[in-house]
Amino acid sequence: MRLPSIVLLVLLGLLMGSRGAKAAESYDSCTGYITSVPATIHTSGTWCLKQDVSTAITSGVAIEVAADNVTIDCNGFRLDGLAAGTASRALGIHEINHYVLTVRHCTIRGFYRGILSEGGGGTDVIEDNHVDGSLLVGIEEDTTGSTVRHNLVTNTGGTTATASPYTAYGIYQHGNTEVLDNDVSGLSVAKNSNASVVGIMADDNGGGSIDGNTVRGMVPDGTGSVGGILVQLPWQLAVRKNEVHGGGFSGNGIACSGSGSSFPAVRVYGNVISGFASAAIAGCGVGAGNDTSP
Amino acid sequence: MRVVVLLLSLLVLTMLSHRAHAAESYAGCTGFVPSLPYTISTPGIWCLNKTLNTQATSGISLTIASDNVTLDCNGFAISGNNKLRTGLMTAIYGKDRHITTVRHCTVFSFDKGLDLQSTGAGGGHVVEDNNVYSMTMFGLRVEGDGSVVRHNLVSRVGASNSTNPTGTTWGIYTVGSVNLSDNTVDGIIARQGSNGSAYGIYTWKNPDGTIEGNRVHNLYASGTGNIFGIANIASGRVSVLDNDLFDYTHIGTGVSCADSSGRLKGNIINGFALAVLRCGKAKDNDISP
Repeated sequence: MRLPSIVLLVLLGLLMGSRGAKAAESYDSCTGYITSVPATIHTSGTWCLKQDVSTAITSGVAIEVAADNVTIDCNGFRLDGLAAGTASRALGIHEINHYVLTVRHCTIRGFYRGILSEGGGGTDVIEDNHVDGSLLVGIEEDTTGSTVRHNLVTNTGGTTATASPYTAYGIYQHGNTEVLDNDVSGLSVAKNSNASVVGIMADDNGGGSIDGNTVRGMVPDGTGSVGGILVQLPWQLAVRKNEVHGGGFSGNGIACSGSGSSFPAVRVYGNVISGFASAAIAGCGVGAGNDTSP
Repeated sequence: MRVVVLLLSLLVLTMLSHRAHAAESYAGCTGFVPSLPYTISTPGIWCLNKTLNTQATSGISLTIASDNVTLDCNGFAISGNNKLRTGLMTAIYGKDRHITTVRHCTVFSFDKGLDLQSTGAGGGHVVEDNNVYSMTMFGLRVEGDGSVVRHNLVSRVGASNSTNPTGTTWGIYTVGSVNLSDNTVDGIIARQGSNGSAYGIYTWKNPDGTIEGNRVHNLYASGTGNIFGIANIASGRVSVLDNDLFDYTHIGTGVSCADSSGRLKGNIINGFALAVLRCGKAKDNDISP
């Protein structure tokens, strides 16, 4: 009885494994490998992980990208900063003032910010990553013309390095960025912090789309609040077909704010918004097809 | 024994989880593009295994001169140098070819990114998952019935367009029955002082294509030029579905069609002086000034 079970499992695994092999995936396109961290990438190309890497640094950067046209492909391996604890301010992957950073297939755990791209570069693509246990922000994309898509951002919050009350964000973006098809779940903060949580923050976005994302599992502390998708200083933006769940806490599902009371050029269309104690949609232009419920 | 079973299961699953996400393979590659300029003359999957750059001042960097060619850049870049230009320069070019596939390419600093032309022959192209930016005329031009343009990022077209003769710029330009889906087009800027127009998506003689789920924003015309989010010229029964279209300057046209047989549904069209020109507005469009 036991032997057939083992054989069956192994055969099943080999069968599934052979499907993976047919996908013709390998390390062929890797320019080089990141075998330990902290590390700095100085040349363009595809830099890969072929094993899990970890660090206990409490400040600085695990992988610093210091060149244009760099792809970090973790091949599903883990970049782990959990050992640094909740007071860490270390960043997982960071670049400033470089164009076309691509980060894909990474599992990133336990950093203050999992991914931070900032400065005068742009046209980044952050896709197909699992960013878990970030202490303040899961993914922060602050460059123009960039895309954040198909990422799983889980269990964000809990820093003890930032003065309270702070706000933890699943995804934070500044400038013209597309935020597409991401799953943000599990945002919570340290006890007695009175901190707030926000699934997706779009800051100063002058023509982008926030489409097809899900936000759920948000738990603030004390006087803190929740925000599903918050749009700050908006120009024109599409907020379409997102599913946002608030857990009954105080806060808005989708809200626009800035120098004015309403922002009709932010089009909120076809979203499912539930479980927010405050208005489901506030300050934005409300299009058709939104499903709002308490 | 149950522990052994559990361990074996975990081992297999662990191996699978790593294999499933591995980077691009060269296993299927017929050959590699060694340097630029280069001409692909035989069918097959032609790959990049490094970033390629050209300092040429005009012409074509990579020519596809055979049917049934796949160009897979594996995420590597093909780059030019707009500062050196004395004439028009095209990154990837083909004419009257059948079934050209271009994928996973980053292309920057040319006048024309991808230019698959047709004089009535060719088609069936697939252009997908490319990142094209810093062009002076257009990002992607795909001509030929049965073609598909999807999942591409096209940005910063016309930002430094000294060699663009008309000053008009296009994000994506197609001819014939072509489907376009899930593309991002951002920052299409006509040359300053040219009176040129800026087109996010331009289709010519598309009788029955679907234009779905694209995002177009930050279009800027020059002088008397105009702005079009999606322009369907001489088109037929095109379906324009679920696109996000924005005009910050409030002078442009959101979507144009040849007549009401072009159908619009579920689009967000914001900021255009004229949201819809001639198309049939089927339902559920969100149109606002």
